[in-house]
Amino acid sequence: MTEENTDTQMVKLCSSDDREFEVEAKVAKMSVTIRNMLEDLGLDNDEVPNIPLPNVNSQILEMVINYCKHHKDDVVLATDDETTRERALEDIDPWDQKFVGADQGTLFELILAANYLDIKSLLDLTCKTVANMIKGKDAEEIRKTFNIQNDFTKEEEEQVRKENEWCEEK
Amino acid sequence: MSVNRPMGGPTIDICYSSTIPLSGVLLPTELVLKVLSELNLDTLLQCKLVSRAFYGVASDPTLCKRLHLLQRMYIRRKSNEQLFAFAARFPMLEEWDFRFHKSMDVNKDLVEGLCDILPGLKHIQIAPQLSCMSQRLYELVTFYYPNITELTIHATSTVYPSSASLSSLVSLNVMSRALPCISSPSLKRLQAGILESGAVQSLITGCPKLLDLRLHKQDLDEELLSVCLTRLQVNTVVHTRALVSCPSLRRFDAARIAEGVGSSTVTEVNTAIRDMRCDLLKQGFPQCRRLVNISDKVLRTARIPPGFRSDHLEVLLNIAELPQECFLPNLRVLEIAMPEDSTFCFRFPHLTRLTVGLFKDKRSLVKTVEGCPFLTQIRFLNKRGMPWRVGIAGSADDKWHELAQLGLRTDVEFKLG
Repeated sequence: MTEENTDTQMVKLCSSDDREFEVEAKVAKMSVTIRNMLEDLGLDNDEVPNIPLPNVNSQILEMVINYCKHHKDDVVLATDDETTRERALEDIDPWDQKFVGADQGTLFELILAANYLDIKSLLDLTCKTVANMIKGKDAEEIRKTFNIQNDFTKEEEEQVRKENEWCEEK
Repeated sequence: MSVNRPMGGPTIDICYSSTIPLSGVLLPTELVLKVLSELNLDTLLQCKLVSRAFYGVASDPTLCKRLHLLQRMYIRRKSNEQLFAFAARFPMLEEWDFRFHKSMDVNKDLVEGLCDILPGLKHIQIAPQLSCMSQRLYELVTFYYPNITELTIHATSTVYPSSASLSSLVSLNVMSRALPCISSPSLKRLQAGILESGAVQSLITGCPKLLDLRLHKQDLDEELLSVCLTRLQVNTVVHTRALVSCPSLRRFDAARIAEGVGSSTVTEVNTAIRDMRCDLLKQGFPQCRRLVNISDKVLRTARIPPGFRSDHLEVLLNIAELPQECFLPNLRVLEIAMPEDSTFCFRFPHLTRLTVGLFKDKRSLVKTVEGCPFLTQIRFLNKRGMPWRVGIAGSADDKWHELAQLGLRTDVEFKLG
């Protein structure tokens, strides 16, 4: 079977709450995890393969599929870290920006899903988005943003402050 | 577990856990680490103050691979001993920027000492004011670090890498200086002002792995042949076939692009052309998604002519005028000065972000919000902070109050500056 044919074949993705999504193999294969599973299954019969994804619920899986559909034709450049790091944090594609604009809970679920499904571009996007939420904030604002308890003792906090000063110019 | 304290004093118990709760969701520490790796030092230091768990992640040595800022703040006016103690805290550091030393402080002891503590440096930057200093520093650095992959030589120095060090170098940046012809089997990125020989193709032939070439003073008048070049910057390009044999090219920057020049693979064009031609994208760069005017003038001077069209353009930045008769169905981000005599309102089905000097009047703003259903943000760039043009007597506060009363869609955010 040619590469072309395997890409247009459909596969079924099954979420943790047992909802099935039928997508083109080309879309599903943006996930390295799924790609590996499909390779293990072998795609040489007419049956639509069924991939169980017990770590992803249907709401998140639907979002991930939308993301993959939108980006399935993206040109993957032969760049390495050095070139990509030039892209500033602000420089997020508008479609993507809207995509990750949901609530924090959903954003973190997306991070977990992108990590589990091994979709690098989605993991980069979601992590960048969280970094943007932290950028420029002080410690108290970061705690507020993510609902984090300050569990330092007064002495320890003072100690960290001193350690930080050491890095700053005097 | 505790960290080694460089200055003595008590130690802090670091909490190393495999997950960290953020807004109630447990994220694996490795993913939080990935998030933190996007931050600069200032924010990273704040993260250490958040909680024990955050302190643990933010202290991870891998975050310090390229703590550029950290050095800038620290290494000025420090003795060698202080610097060595500092370097010892960050054994994973891969980048050292000698520009932040006072030139006279850079000596053999310093470089030799650093080499002991940080044998893994890969990227070194130097920028001495005097060329004699430059040569000495260059020799010192390449003696102690023969395998650096990235060397940046800033400003007026006149040293060039020897052919020996070029055999492993991946990136070279001599800023805007002229560069003699070099060849390197490993070089991937090169930035210079201009090539002394002017022959760009012979450079490309000599550096077969080159994927990012920036020569911002270079005029290009030859056809280039390269299978791996993905990014190219020159001053002007004249030869109409200059880019046609670079099948991997994705980004092209040139102050001026002659008529007929084009590439069917480029998706991003940065140029300083004042009068964009209708054929620029249609015939020249049909796949272009991002077109940016980079003229260094304070005024945005680029004009788009009537009849301008592109099916792929998504981002258009730094434009003076945009006529009604242009066809950009996929435009998502637009930045435009909007001259005051314009009666213009925007109608783009996919536009999400608009940056504008100011609107001519309230009506054109309202029409624009109505005409762009996906708009989420309008940013105003005029000095008085007005959303639209007002008489001398009007105050910005009044206008913003009026704006709030207009009953526009609530999902559109208005911002200043």
